[in-house]
Amino acid sequence: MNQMTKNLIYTLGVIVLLAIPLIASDFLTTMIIRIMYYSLLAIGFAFLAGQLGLISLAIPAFMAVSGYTIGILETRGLLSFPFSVLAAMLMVLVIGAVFGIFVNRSQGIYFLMLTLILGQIVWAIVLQWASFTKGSSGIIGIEKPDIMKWRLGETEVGFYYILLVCFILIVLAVLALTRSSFGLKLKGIRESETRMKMLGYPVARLKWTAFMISAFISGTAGVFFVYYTGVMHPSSINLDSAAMVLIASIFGGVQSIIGAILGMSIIKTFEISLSGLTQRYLIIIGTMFLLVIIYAPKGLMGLIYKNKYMQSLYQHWYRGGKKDE
Amino acid sequence: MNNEHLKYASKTYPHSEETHPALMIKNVSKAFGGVKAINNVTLTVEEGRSRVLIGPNGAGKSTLFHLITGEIPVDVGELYLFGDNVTKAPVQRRSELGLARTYQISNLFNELTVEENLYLALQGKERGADHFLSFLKPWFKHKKKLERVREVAQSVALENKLDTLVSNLSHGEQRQLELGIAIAPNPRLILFDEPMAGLSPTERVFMKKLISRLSVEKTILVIEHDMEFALSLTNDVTVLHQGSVIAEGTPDDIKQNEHVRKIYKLENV
Amino acid sequence: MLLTLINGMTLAALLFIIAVGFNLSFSLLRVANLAHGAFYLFGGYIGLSMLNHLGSWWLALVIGGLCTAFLAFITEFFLLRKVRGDNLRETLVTLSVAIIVADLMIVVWGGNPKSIPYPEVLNGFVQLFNVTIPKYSVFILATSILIGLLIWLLLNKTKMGMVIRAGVDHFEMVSVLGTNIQRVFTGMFVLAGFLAGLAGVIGGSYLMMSPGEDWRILTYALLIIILGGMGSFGGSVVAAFIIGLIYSFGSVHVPEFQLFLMFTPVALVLIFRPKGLFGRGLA
Repeated sequence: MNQMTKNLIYTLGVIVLLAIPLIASDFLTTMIIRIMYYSLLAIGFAFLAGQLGLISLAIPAFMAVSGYTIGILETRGLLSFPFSVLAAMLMVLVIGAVFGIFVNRSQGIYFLMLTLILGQIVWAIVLQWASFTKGSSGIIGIEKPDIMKWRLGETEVGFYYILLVCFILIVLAVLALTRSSFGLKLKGIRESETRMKMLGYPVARLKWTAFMISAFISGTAGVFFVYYTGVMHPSSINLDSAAMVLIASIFGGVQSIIGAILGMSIIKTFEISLSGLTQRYLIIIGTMFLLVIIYAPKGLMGLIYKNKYMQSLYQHWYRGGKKDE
Repeated sequence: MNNEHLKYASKTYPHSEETHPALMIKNVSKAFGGVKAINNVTLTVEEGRSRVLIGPNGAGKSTLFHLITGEIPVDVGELYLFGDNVTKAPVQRRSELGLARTYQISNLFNELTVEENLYLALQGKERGADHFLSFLKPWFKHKKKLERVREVAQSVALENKLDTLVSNLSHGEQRQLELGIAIAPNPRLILFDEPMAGLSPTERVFMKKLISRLSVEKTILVIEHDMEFALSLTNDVTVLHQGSVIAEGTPDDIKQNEHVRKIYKLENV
Repeated sequence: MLLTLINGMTLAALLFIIAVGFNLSFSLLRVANLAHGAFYLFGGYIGLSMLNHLGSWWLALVIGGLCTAFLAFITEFFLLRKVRGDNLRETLVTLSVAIIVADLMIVVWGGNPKSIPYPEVLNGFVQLFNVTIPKYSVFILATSILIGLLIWLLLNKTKMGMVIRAGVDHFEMVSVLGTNIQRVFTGMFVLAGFLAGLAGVIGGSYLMMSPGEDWRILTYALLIIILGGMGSFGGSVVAAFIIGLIYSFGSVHVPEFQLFLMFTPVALVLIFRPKGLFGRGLA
């Protein structure tokens, strides 16, 4: 591919993405919006899983932290829009830092178990501390800020555009991270922590930083979730949703965050189209996941990369094209 | 093989005024459960004077390496690296002081390429090299580092395998990479844990050459069963048995030592 | 106060039955069985159906346990063995089993909370040292002591127990012990499933059964393992009591932070004693 076609594809892509709310049906737009903010969770997950090999079940917990912070601050009239979001993200970083310290020493299944418990702590607090979080009735009536209500003609596009910009920025930043030397260090930790320590790397600090980055991305998802749905409820951050993030990401493949986004898109499309027919679509999704784990552990992306051309595209991107000769 | 690696290896550290031994182990002990793996070991390795560590299986040689690197903390005793007390220092600190090691069972970054492995090995000691936005810069754009990666790869004869995944290397090549990773940060003291384990005769010849050349430039402490080779590197030998030092001296001293002879005879039965 | 204490002890006894099998199978196979909570609930629902069909609570108890053991067997033999060697993948397989089973249970038994009625014999109270205790509590405590005793005997007095203990302590050694170890793995996993099913019927009578309960039970079991220490039998006992008592006192005195309080000892343990109270460690 030469530079011209590349640029052409990018431009076309951007135009299509920008035009979606204007030309697509409300249903499709809604779906794409949901896919985008859920994909942020998947990116947060895949960043840890792909770079460090750590499976986190605490991803929705950070969505809860930002969502609830905004919900509580705004419904009580304590802080309003830009500041409530700042406070929410600050809160995410603080909680992420504390959780990061807890899980830092663990690897493999132990990391998974600890993050499961941390996620449950957050869930337990929002469920039981009813005087503060409204418990099982949830916080309702959280309004979108005016800027997100911005209209172009008849259609409200503000929310969509802001989400789109944040989404693209985060995707680009994480992609850059995965092939930076920081990303390489994380992969080194994934492969051998002992060797990395022997080479003089501050392994604990690197892992902690990665955990914070993942928390931050997941927290961003919470901001969009809470403004879009207007509701924060314990059921949207329970273990089922943590499992859903995990399933979608691994289904798509966590080696690259593109896989996680793909997986989340498929699972959400599935969920939305199946939920019209039956409430028990989890059986189907669970079975699909089981098959992927047993027969294609690298997920859909793993299958796609088996194709020589796709593999060479990836190698070109990851190794700067010098292996193309 | 050319002498490429020597050029690389000869970049030495600025020396401090006083000279300290590269490694000083003072009355170190370590027990696992109730078993004393290392019992009151005292050992000095002078800078520039390599030393061979021998002893029957289970003598505690590898454990001693783990204690020196800090991968396992000592129970009692003191450890000095180039004069610095590192008894309680974390692994990273010891690495900063110029300590490196190889592992008996290859400890490599298996799902990464040879190039990435050596890149990580080179970068470990660099502090503050990353500025705020450096995460946006792809690792392969650090041209200078890649050149140095190539140099190191050459010195361990892996320059044609740079893009190969470690898991696709032969055992011998993995051992070479193991060595490459250890020497890449340009350490002052290298611990070799049976560098020739499992190598074919031709691979051994090659590995011997590499290590002999290194031993000219660096201080090395090596665990090796191939006595002939080990003694060609140095005349300083320490014998470890059941966690204790039972003999120390030149090869001749060791051969004369009653205790050593007894143990090795028993081992042979 | 006394009632709260008894409730706490009862819950602790129940949690012990759930956690001890989980802990042993976890530390032997190195697979955190995330379907353990679903197994518990499955046992409970089967027990409920059996009670309705056969009319005997005791028969329901046994069949609930056996059916769950069978489910565990299917999971281990047909699924886990396919990915053996990669513990993380094995754990993810159990996660998908948990999700599938949980959803199937909603299909079969619906989403409304259900409870298994106590058998006639266990209704009412007994007088023990001037204290009135519900018979059911006595039953749960006695059962858990019995199960604990049997497991202790299995671990310490049988050959299989020796293999299990060796495996828990030195995972690498297990593979050297021969092909038979696969059978020991299956056996341990099935035993843990059986205990979960048994606990499901007992717990289904003592607590409520509803969707979501499976995750709750799983979380408690994980708390106990981390608190007590991986692979530690005694640790499971102590941790079960700590968690059970905090649960019951918490729900009386600080209902808003009851669950949160249950997590605090775990957090403290992680900071000051990462290996758990009696464990060999979260390696």
